[in-house]
Amino acid sequence: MFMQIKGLSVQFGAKPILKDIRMELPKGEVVSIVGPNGAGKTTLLKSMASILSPPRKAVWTDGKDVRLYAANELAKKQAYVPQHSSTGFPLTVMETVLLGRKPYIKWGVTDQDLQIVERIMDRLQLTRLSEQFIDECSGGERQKVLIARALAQEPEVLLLDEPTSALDIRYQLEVLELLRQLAREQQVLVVLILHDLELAARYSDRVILLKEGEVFAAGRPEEVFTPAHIEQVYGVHVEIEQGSCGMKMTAIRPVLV
Amino acid sequence: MEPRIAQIYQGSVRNKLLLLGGMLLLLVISTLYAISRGAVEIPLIDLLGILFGQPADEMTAYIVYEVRLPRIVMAIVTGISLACAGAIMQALLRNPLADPFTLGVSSGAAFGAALAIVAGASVFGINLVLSGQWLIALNAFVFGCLAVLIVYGIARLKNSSTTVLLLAGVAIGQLFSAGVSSLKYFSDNEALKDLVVWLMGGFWGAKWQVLQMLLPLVLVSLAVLIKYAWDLNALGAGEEVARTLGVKVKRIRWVCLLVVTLMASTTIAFTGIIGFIGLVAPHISRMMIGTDYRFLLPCSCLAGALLLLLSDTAARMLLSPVEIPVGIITALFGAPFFIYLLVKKRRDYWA
Amino acid sequence: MKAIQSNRYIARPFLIFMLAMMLLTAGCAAAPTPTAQPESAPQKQEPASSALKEPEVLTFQDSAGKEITLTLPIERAVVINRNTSEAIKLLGAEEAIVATGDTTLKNNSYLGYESKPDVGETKQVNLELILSLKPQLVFAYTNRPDQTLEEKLEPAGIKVVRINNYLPEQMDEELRLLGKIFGKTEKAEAFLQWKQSIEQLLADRVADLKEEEKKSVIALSAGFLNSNGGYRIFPSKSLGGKPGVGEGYATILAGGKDVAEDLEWNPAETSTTIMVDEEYVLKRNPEVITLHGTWLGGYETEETQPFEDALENIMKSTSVSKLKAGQNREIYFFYTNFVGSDKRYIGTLQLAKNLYPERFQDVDPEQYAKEYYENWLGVPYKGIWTYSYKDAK
Repeated sequence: MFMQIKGLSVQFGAKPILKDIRMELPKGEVVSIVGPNGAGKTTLLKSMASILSPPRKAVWTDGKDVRLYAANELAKKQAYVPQHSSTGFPLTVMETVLLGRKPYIKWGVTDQDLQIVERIMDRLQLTRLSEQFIDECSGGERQKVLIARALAQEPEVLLLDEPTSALDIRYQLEVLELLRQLAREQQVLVVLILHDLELAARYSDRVILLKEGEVFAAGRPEEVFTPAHIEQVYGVHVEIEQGSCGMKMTAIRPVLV
Repeated sequence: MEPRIAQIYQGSVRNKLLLLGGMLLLLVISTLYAISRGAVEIPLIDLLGILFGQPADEMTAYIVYEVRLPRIVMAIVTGISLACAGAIMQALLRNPLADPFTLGVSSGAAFGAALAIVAGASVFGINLVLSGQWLIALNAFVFGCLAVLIVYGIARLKNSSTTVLLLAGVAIGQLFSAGVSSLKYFSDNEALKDLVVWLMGGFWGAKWQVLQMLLPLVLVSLAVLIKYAWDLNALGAGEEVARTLGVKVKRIRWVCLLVVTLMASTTIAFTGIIGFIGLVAPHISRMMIGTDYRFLLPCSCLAGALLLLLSDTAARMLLSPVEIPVGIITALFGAPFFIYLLVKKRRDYWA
Repeated sequence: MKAIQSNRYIARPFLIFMLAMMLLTAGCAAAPTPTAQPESAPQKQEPASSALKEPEVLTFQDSAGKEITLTLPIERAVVINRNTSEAIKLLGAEEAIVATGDTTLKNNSYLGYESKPDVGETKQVNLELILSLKPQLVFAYTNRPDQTLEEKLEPAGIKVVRINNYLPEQMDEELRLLGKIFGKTEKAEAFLQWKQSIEQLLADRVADLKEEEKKSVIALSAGFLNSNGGYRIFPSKSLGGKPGVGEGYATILAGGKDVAEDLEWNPAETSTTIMVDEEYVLKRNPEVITLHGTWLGGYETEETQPFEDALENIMKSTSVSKLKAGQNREIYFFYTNFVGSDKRYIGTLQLAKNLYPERFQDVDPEQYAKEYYENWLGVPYKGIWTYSYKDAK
C-alpha cells in the first residue's frame, strides 16, 4: 500500500475534527473523499498533504512516516492542488508550472526541468497559454495550470481540494477524465475531495465517506453509495439507479428528524 | 509550429537579463553623471585626472573623493537596501502595501535613534554625534527590529492575517511616531536639533567609514535573500502550496524578515527616514520584469538605487548650492511615475 | 463686531446647556452646589494720580505695520518676546510686566522675571492664562505667535503690539517706542546714544579697509554643523540686496567679506539659515568661520570646555578641517544674542577685533558688555558670550 493512514486524530482546541481515521490507498487509483459540510474532508486532505502537520506515525507515504521526510523529499513524493489559486502577484502560466520543479531546483533551471514542464504542458494543452499571466486565464484553464504545477513535481500522490468546484460541466469532466488517465497511465495515487456524488461514483475507484470526523464507509462506489448510507450521513432519502455512465442518484426529500 | 517551452523560457530569461543589464548600464551612467555634477564645476579633464590619481588641485580631489563619492555610494546603497526590503516584505506578506514604513521599521528605528539622541545627549554631552553615532545606529536597529517583532507578533495572534499585520504595522508606527514627537517635545534644544536632522533624512556628510560597514552588510544580506528566490516564488503561490512544494515557510519568513529588517534599519539609522523607495521600486520592477524573484530582486535593487541616486542628484543640483531634502524629490517624481504605471498597466495586483 | 455677536449667538445656548449639565451632575452628586459665580476680577491697582489727570492717548504704528492706540499709563503688560522684556528692563519699566514667556525665563534668566507667571512657548502661548491676567497689552514678535493672538485677545480689550527689539533696522525705533509707552523717553535716548557711539567706533575703524584687505568669512549654524546636520549658512543679504540675517550681516558690519554673498534670504521663511552643498563651502574656502547658536555659552555658562569639545568635534567629523579657516584655527563662536540679535553692536565689535586685531588693539569689547549688564540692566556681569578656537588647548 502506497499511502497508509494509521489512526489519524486531529483536534482544534478541544474540538475533535478527525477521529482515528484508518485507510490504505494503493497507487494507480482515484480516491474520492466525500461527506457533508463539516465532516472533516479538508482537514483530512490537508493532514495527508502535511499542510497541517499530522501526529507522528499517523500518515505514511511509500512506507515511511511523512514526519520523517525532509520537506523537499516529501514534495517529490506528493503534490497538492488548492481549491483556489492564490491572489498574490501573478506569474505567467509557464512560470507557474515551472514552480512545480521547486523541490528539484537548486537555483538554476536545467534542461531536464524544462523538458518535464514542456511534456506536462503539452499533455494538458497549456502550451499556447505559456506566456499568459495566470490571472488572465479562465477558471478551467487555471485549474489545469495548478494541476500541471503539481504534476511538475513528478509526484506519486496527487492531493486535490475540490478541483471541480469552480468549473462548468465541460471542464469538470475534462479535469476528472485527466485525473483518471493520470492514475491509470502513470500509476499516480489521486486523492480528491468531491461534492458531486455522481461524479465521485463515476470517476473513483474508491470512495471514502466521512461523517463527523470518522470514516463512515469506504470502498468501491457501489458499496459506499447506498440509500441507507446516504440517508444516515446526508439526511436525505435518495433513489439510486444504474445509468449509462455510472450511478444516478436522485434526492427525494430530507429525512424528518 | 509553436515555439517550444525551452525556447520561450530562454527567450524570457534573455529579455530579463537584457533589462537588468540595461538598468545596470543606466545606473553606471547616472553615477558618472552624478560624479561630474555638483555645486563645484569640475571639468572632465580634471575629473579624469582625479579618478586616475593625478589631481590638479588638492581641494577638488578632496571634494570628489570625500564629499561627492561617498554621498553617491550612500545613495545607491540606501536605494538597494530599501527597495530590497520592500520587495521581500511584499513577498513574505503577499501584500502590495508592505514596506519598511508600513511595517513600522522606519518609525521604530526613528524612535530608537531619537531615544539615543535624547538620552545620549546627557551622557555624551554635546559631542553626541561623534561618539554616539554608532550608538544611534545600534539603537535604531534594535527598535526597528522590535517594531517588526511586535507587529509580527500581533499578527500571529490573529492567524497571521496580512490585513491584521498591516493594520498592526500602522498602529505601531503611529505609537512610535508619538514617542518621537513626545521626545521632541520634552527634549532640550540641542538634542532636538540632532533629531530634526536625523528625521529629515538625507545623504549629507556620508562617510566611507559608515559605508565600510554598510556595504558588506547589504551585499551579504542580498546574497542570502537571492538564495531564497525560489522559496519566495513558491510563497507567492500561497502558504499551503509553498509547504507542499517543500518550502519551510516559518523559517523562510523569520530569516528573510530578520535579514531585511537588519538591512533596512541599519541603513535608516545612518541616513534618517527616506520614504517611498521601499514601496515604489518593487512595484515598478514587478511591472517591468514580472514576479520571479530571481530577477525581481536584482531589478528592485537597481530601480531603488537609480531612483534614489537621481533624486539625490536632483536635490543637490536643482537649486544649487542650496540643498533640498531628498525625500521631497523622491516623492515628487516617484509618485506621479508610480500613478502613471498604475493607470497605464491594466493588470492590478490588489484584487 | 458682527462676527463676535454671531459667535455669542451660538455661544449663549451652548453655555446654558453646559450650565444645565453642570447642575444636573451636581444634583446627581446629592449635594446641590450653588451656580458657579464668575471669578471675581483681580483687584485693579488704581494709582491715585490717574483720577486727577485726563488719560493720555498714544497712537503709533507697530513693526508689523498696524496702527495702535493706547491709553497711558501702561501698568499691566504681558511680554512674550524675550528681547522686548530685556528692553523694558533696560528702560527700568519692569514693574509693568505681569508675565513673560518661557524663552525669556530660559534664555534671559538674569532679567529676574522668574517669580512672574509663564505664558508658555512663544508659538503656543496659553491664551487663558493671558486673559486671566487682564493685561492692557501684550508684546509679541512680528511673526509669532500667529494672528490667533489678536483674534482672541482684542475682543477682550487687550491690545497686541508686535515689535522685535533685535533686528538692526528696527531696534532703535522700537526702543524709542517703548520709551514713549512706559514714559521712559529720556532713558531710551541716553541708551541709544551710548549704543550708537559703539557702532560708530566700529564703522570708523573698518571704513578704510580695502577690498583686498578684507577677510573672507562664512557664518554657520554651530548646532547643525556639530550634529552632522550640514553647512547651514546665515545669509548676509535678504532678497533685493537688503541686510540679511543678523548673524550673517555681522560679517559685513565687522568689515569682512561674506563668501556666500550670492545667497539671499527670504524674510518670509521661518528658518534663518540656508542649507548648502558641502562642495560649495569647500570651493569658496573661507579664511574665517563664525559659528552661531544659543546652546553653548550664555549668562549662566562658566566653563569653556564645552566650546573646546564642540570645536574639536567639528574639526574631526566635518570637512571644516580642510578649509583655510580650520587650518589656521580662525573659528569663532558667538552666542546668538551677542552678534545676531539685540547685543549686535558689542558682538560685531568683537568679530571685527578677531578679524583685524591690529586695528582694535585699544578696544576691549568685553568692557562694553560689562557696562551694558551692570550700568544699563543693573545686574551682575557674567557668562561666556564668545569663544575663539585659537584659545583652545
